[in-house]
Amino acid sequence: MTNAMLEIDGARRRALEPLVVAWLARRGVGGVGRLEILEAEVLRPGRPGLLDVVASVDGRTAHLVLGLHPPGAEVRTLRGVDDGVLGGFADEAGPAVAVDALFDADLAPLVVVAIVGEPVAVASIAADDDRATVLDAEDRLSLSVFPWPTEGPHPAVDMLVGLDEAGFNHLAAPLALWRRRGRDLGVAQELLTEAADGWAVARTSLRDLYGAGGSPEEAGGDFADEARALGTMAARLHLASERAFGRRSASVADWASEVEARVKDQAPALARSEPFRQSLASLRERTERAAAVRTHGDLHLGRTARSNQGWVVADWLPGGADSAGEPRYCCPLSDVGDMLWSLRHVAGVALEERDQALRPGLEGAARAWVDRNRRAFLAGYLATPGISELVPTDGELVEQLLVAFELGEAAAKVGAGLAR
Amino acid sequence: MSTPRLPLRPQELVPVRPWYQHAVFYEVFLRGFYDANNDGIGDIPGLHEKLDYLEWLGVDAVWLLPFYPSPMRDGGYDISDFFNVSPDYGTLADLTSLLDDAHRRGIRFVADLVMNHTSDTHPWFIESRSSRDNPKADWYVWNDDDQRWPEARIVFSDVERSNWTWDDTRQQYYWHRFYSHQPDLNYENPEVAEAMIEAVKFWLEIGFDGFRLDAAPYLFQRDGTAGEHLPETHEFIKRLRKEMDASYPGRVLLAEANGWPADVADYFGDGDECHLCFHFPLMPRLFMAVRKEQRSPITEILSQTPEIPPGCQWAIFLRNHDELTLEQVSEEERDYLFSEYAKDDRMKRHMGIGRRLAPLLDGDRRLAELLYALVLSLPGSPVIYYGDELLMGDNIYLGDRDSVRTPMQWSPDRNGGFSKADFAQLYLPPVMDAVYGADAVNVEAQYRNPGSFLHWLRRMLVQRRAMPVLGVGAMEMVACPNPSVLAYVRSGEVADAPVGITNPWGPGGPPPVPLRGSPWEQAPATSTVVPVHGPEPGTTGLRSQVVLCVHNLSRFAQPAELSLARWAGSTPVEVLGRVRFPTITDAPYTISLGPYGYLWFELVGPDGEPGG
Repeated sequence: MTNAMLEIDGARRRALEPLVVAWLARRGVGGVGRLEILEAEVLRPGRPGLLDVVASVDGRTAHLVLGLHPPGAEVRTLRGVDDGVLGGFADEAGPAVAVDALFDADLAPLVVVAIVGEPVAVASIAADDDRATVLDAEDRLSLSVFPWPTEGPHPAVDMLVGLDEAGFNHLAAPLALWRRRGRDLGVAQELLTEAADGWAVARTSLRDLYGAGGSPEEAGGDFADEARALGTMAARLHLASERAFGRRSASVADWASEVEARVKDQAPALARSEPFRQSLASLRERTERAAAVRTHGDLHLGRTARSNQGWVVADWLPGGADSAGEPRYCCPLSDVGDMLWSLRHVAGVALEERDQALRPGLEGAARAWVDRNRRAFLAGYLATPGISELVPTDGELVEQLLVAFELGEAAAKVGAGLAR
Repeated sequence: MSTPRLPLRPQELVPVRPWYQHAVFYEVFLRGFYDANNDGIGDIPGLHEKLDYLEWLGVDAVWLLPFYPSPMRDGGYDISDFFNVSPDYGTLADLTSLLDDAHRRGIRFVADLVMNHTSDTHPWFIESRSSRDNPKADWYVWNDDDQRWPEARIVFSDVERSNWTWDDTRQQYYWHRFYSHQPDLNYENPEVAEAMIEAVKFWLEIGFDGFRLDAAPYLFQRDGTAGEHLPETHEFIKRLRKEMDASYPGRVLLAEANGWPADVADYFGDGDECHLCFHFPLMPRLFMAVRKEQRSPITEILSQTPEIPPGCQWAIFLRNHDELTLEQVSEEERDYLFSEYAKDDRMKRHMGIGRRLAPLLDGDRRLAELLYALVLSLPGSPVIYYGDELLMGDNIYLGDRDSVRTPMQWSPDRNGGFSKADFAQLYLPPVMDAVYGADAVNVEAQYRNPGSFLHWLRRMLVQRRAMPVLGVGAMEMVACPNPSVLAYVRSGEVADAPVGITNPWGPGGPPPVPLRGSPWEQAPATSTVVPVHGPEPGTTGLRSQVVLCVHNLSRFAQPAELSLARWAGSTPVEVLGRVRFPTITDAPYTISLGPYGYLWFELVGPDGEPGG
């Protein structure tokens, strides 16, 4: 893009700062201490106009797209937004009503056009949280805009692009990166219109099983083929990750310590339990090292989707990075453990939604579903050509690692209030 | 006071879509349809008597299964004379009379034509096998050993061990892709091609509107290949098309080419080969999707279906006279479908399932309606198998594919109203079980019951006529988070009234069903029936039409959150009741669907014009 960067002088700063504060307030960020406007780029001059702003807010980098309507113009917001107006603004084009452009029915399509360069008439909000605001445009593409970009490449974008270039095709292909001065501000991807969330697909299978009774293999909605395909996808992810980002060697005992720390922090009760302590104790005694690759970091059903091309990883926002944004190299079985936990979790959630009186009769079916699909997932994963190069060959160690990583994932979800 | 219609200005004149792109086909197994002379076998006069019924039902074209002389070892697909009608079925005069009457009613007829092979009782084969140097010695494919073309698969592998069979008289092997009593014709011999084109012209002259080309992929063989979809085969079909277009414009070719869509699409050529091709892989995936309660089997195969040339069309179906073929699915999918739909081994036939629609669905009418709603709204021309409009049953204890070829059930009378012959005379016993027998399932009862499946389907056919975009419109999937919901939009420019197709009821829909009076209510005088032969008028007015189709593939009620922002400002109008739903905004559009529910909406803009 060759848009104009605005010079941030005193007047400009005074005009933009209240708008950033208003934007922060809308995102639940109050009591702002230190605020500095770092840069502002004109994405679309005139009215309606678009101004992309990056600011430093108490040490974090904030990113917002201001929309500029002429005074008196009707402001139409997208769903879920009662009032998109952030305040007044003035520049060479005159006074304007400033709004969050990503939530503006008329301006959101113009943001997509400005970033992707393709004509788009309609956009809608597909998701919005602290990780990204996702605009779907005309069932053709989706644009993720990061409200809190990192300095340097965004780990999720880095991983998405790296894996795509390494030939991993279980993803929505990246179409355009929105990068300025080393920061990734957003990414446009192919929109998989027909794709369905992995969690919902698994729930469909469970609904069928709980409705019909019997064994999961005889149920019309049997999930085993899908679980197997998911396992294959996970293995291909790790193989592509190795091609894209390389392989490291890591201490098995260190992984045990990491899991232990995570569990102690997020689920202390679990950390005190004897089975947990025993399982980690045996791991900590291991002296060998094993392959570590850049993993997804939170690979559960809700991060995946079933598309016409098969299973895809739909959500990369964990980005294979640690809390500091550094690429996270770990045992590939950590992602496997996440998914094994997810398969157990979804069956439990679906069961809990059933009438309490019916649950005892369904518990056996739920257990059978979990066992069958965890086996299928593991079978798909371990049968993928090449994956044996990345996972330990010692079956007992594999089992110990899976138990540990699954417990770690369970603890993380308990800590996040997403599970009991 | 009516407003006089202004003449169309030249710029409003546009080509009309060909009839077969809008048509609903009805497949008739003549032997089992209606027996007029009470000899136990359905016949042409019997079918003629039932034209009233077909017209009432609202089908546009009949696909007539083989009616040629035949020893009947394969349901008539073993032809012993290409230029005559089997005496079991009547005479050429009977056939001509039937076609003339059908055409007067705006119903077209497509004949099944088996070009690939003949019966081993055909005089051509008898002569060919008699020696190695007779005039027809090379009309079939002969070889000294049975080792040639090992790559060619054996279609009926559960019955046949080889595609070669030894002939004692000629002391050679002959080639057959199907049963050993069906020797393949040798299309390398120009005389064979000429003979077949002569047969085609013969039946076109009689009045048929086209042909369903049986076993189209197998006409030629070549070393080192599987002997399917060869370029030589396409060349021959192109030649056939050219000859037809030159002398019989408006007639059609419908290919039976069981293959992957990308391969089958080759049979459209560049619009210069077949007009229609069956979309085989879609059918098993419809059944898979409703058992899995997920749309992915359907959306996957549609995403792998290529664009087809202008003037061409897919033919889509739920069931037909053959087994529910599972050739175009993976092994895992086949195992799955067998486990779901053929729990008794007797239900399996060749590489498929020998059951009718209703038993496959455990008699669930809601599910049958859903599947028909899909077939009537997905891209393609629907083909309805006789009896499936009643949800007739089958008889899995009958051999081969006879399980789905039992007599049509017209009434609760003797032999289900199919024939007054003695029961023992019937070509096959009618279904007589408590669930699907003629006492429970028959035309007469369903005709008298406006709430019957028969009436439901008839109303849907009427509705489909009113929405020609379902025949030829573009298709766009609509995003929906719920994997059990399949939603798509069909849109495009459509003719005001498709020319050459009856629209007997006009925009107001069909009149109420009478409970007494004439057996079949005739089309009212407002009916627009035009000659079906000869050049079509070719032009009429155009308008936009946008139809949203939403289907719940689950047996449980489901919410559908649809991404319809593209159509923001349009109002969905439910097509059956013309009920206006809330206007679409940029927010996800939420509707609720009952178990196996479906809703079709016409999207209307703020000005009342089609949205989009």
